[in-house]
Amino acid sequence: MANLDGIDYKNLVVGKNMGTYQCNVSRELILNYINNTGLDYEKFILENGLIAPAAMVFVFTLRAIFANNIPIGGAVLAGHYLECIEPIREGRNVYIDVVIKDKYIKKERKYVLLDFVVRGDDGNINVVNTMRAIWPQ
Amino acid sequence: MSGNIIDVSRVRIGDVTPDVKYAITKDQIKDYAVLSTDNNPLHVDEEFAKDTMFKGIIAHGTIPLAYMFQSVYEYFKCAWLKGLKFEVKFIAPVRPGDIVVCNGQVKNVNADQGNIVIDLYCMNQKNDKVIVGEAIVPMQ
Repeated sequence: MANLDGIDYKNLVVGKNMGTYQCNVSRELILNYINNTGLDYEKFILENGLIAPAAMVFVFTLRAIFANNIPIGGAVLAGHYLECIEPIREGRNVYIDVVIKDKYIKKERKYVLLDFVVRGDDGNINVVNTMRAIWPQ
Repeated sequence: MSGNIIDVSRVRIGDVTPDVKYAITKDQIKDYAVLSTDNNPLHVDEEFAKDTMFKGIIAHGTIPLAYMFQSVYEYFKCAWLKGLKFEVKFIAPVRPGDIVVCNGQVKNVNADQGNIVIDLYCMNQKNDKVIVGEAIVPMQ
């Protein structure tokens, strides 16, 4: 299972910021996610419109990975850690910084940890997320 | 939304959070690939996927997490929890046609630390655990 762009595991630099991805969280985008997951739309209407369901943050972090050409195509997800700080509201922009947090080999498997910090237009953090993936063998 | 309004008095160790059940389909996986831009061939290319250790297409691991979160939110009767910490480990793949059932069980109510700890489970129709984890919910 080769990765998609040929970057070697050994060339992943721990601590490297892989870039920032920006996304407008439109009402349509939230509704697309709600439709995809079959969640109940009405549960996500708050006083000023829709909020993105918490697990929608993974849509943004996956987009950040692929927009920044982070070479994990073919990787297998092993774990996630998420801390929810403020909800993401419709119409806002989110900015996602991606940093290679760590890499290690365990039981002959290569792992990579990516840190994501999701901020809003005001610079405040909405969500922090760490993804653990098994690198393509 | 400055804090969580949780009626701690009704939370008991051993409480089970509501089942959130969903049938995962090939179309859902395909649409999620478009939505997330994650077109990993394990999710979208049957020919590729059948020659891998998974022997076929698997769902994005993050799809069922929606239902794990939802079970916690339904227990607390809210749409979002400020300060919620959520950690999961993926044990087995979810495949198109699988029916996942997600729920949790209150493990601890830590008044001194101001949080509630919930063990999380996502099972498939064979009652196999596919994702397990833990949620830590601040009381305020």
